[in-house]
Amino acid sequence: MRSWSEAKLSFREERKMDLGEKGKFGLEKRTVDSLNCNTTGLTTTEWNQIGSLPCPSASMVDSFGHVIWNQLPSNTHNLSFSNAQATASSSTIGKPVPMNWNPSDSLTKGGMFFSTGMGMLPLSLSQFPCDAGFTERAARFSCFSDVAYPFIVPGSSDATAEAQMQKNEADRIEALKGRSGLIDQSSNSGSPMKEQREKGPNEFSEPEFSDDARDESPNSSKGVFGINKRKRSNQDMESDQGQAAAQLPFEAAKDVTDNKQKEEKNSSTMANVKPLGKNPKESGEAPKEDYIHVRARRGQATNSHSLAERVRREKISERMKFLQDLVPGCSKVTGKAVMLDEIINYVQSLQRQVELFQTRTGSSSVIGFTPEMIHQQLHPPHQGLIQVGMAGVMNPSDAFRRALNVQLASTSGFKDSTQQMTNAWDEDLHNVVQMTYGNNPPLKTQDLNGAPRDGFPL
Amino acid sequence: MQAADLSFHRIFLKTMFMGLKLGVSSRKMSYQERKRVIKLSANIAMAVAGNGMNWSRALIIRHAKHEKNKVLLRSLLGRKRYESITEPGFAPLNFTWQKMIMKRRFRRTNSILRRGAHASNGATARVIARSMAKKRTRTLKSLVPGGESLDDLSLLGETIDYVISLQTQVHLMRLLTEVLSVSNLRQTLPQGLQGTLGLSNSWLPTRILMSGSVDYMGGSPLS
Repeated sequence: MRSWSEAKLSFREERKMDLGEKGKFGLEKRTVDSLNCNTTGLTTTEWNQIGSLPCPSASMVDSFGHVIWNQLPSNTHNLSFSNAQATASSSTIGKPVPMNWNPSDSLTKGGMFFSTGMGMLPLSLSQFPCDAGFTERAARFSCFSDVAYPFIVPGSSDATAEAQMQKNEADRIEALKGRSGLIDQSSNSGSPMKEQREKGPNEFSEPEFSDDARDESPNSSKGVFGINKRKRSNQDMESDQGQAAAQLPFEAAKDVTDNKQKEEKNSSTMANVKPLGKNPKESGEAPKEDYIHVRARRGQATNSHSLAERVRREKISERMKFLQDLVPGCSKVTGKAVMLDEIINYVQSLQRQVELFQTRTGSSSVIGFTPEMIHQQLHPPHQGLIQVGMAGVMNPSDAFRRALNVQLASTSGFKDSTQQMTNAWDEDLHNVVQMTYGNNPPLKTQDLNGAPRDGFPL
Repeated sequence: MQAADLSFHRIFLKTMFMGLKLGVSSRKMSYQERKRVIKLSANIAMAVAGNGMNWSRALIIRHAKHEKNKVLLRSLLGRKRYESITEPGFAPLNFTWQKMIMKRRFRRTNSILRRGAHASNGATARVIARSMAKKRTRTLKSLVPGGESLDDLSLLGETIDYVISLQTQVHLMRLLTEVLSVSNLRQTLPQGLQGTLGLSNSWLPTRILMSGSVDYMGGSPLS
């Protein structure tokens, strides 16, 4: 554990250094940049927690990520991957590798880097010998080329790349989960993953989420099945089923050995087949049918209910960790309630942003509106509405609506010098982000919708 | 194998442009009307692109409830899909409000009674934390479309997917607005000013936005 945290720290520092370097590429510094920094730092930590790999592979990925950033030739790549061969890595390698690669991509812009990264990847992917089908699986994720998309746009912020990366991550993780869900529809499928997860530290162990149903497993397998479906075509899935079927026993075997290595508090039985002398009742319990490789911890109840509950809690905590990844600036937040709060705020701000962009599209689609008018619309009232002569009002929602109305009415047909256009857009986006993140009482989206009208009462 | 998997983007953009094209009938549409169409197109595009998820279906259903949108939706989704999605049958989505309120109240009072009776001093913090977490779960359920009838684990999974789709949507719409503004500018500005702003050659976002097998219809879809 100690070595993990050290590796984590060193990795994060390296990343910050490279962040500074990437400034040379002409990144526009926006508020989103700071968020992005956190997120990229997050990703590594989350990888370290989720992956729960021994240290050598952590250092391997360090060198991997570093190699990508510095765009070294593929020889170094081969070297770093030969390290990977030595480690007893399981399919969780599939998770950390893309997760670390993507953040590094998110830091750079320009097709140059992209092409180098793409060129390096197929090579590197083929180096993984651990799973026979792993290469195909990882390659089939085919999200690596996604990162091409946001980077060619010169004016886009890092949030776009972030979105891309996170989408890839989610798909990858969910695809991984979904693969095991593909095998059989019962919760048997989730077991190898469960076993890996149960070793990790359980941050969210304390307050129970709810007292709800224990049989979330059919739900979850359905859910992840759906997520899986989004990214891949049908034939991919079917061939993957074959792959994963071959993979599962392999993973299970690996997991058993990993268990023996890592978990110090080993308990008596696997709720699998052999009833040991200590807990004979374990064999006859219901979880034997549902979960193959759930192992009771030493000193904890081996009741079927508590086992199932523990598994469920760990599933929830894994998803919370992944959400921590997604939501920017949540690396230091621990605990379910606070994390949920952050998630809620983030979702609300995203929804608000969408509304704003819809408004913008609406107004820019009307020929005759110049960006200046949109620029004025989006400058929130607390900026002081000079043209309208309204005193700067802090944002109660109807005041904002009033502002929009007045601005729209008075400035229709207004043409201004558009020399400041590019600057205006920068400020615009800046303000949009600031506004959405800075608002404490969240604007109701309905108010924004009801905003502009032609003849209206103030 | 390494094919660019921009399917989400492609589907989103395609659906959105189709929706906009279908929905915007004339140039003289009012701002309100236009905005409604844009909003509908964007949300439906996101839902279609995020197909297979609970929230996507719930989002479509939410929009299909309004009378105005039905025609557009039907033509956008295709009749078959529209029918299959809006058929009332799927239990997790069509929880009636009454049932939910009753369930919620019952659960709340029950748990409070139970906990209040047995809570010692040490456990009070946990009780409070639990109730806080529950409260926030409820807010999250109200935020994520279709999340009301989900249990915690799947709710989290849905949130993950929903957040990612939202992020992508924001990204794409930002590009879209930039493109539209530029094209708008090009039409309103005289040639000289366009040259100084560097608008005369093809604008990069346009190309990037439209790349990847989305047919660019040779002009702003709204013009």
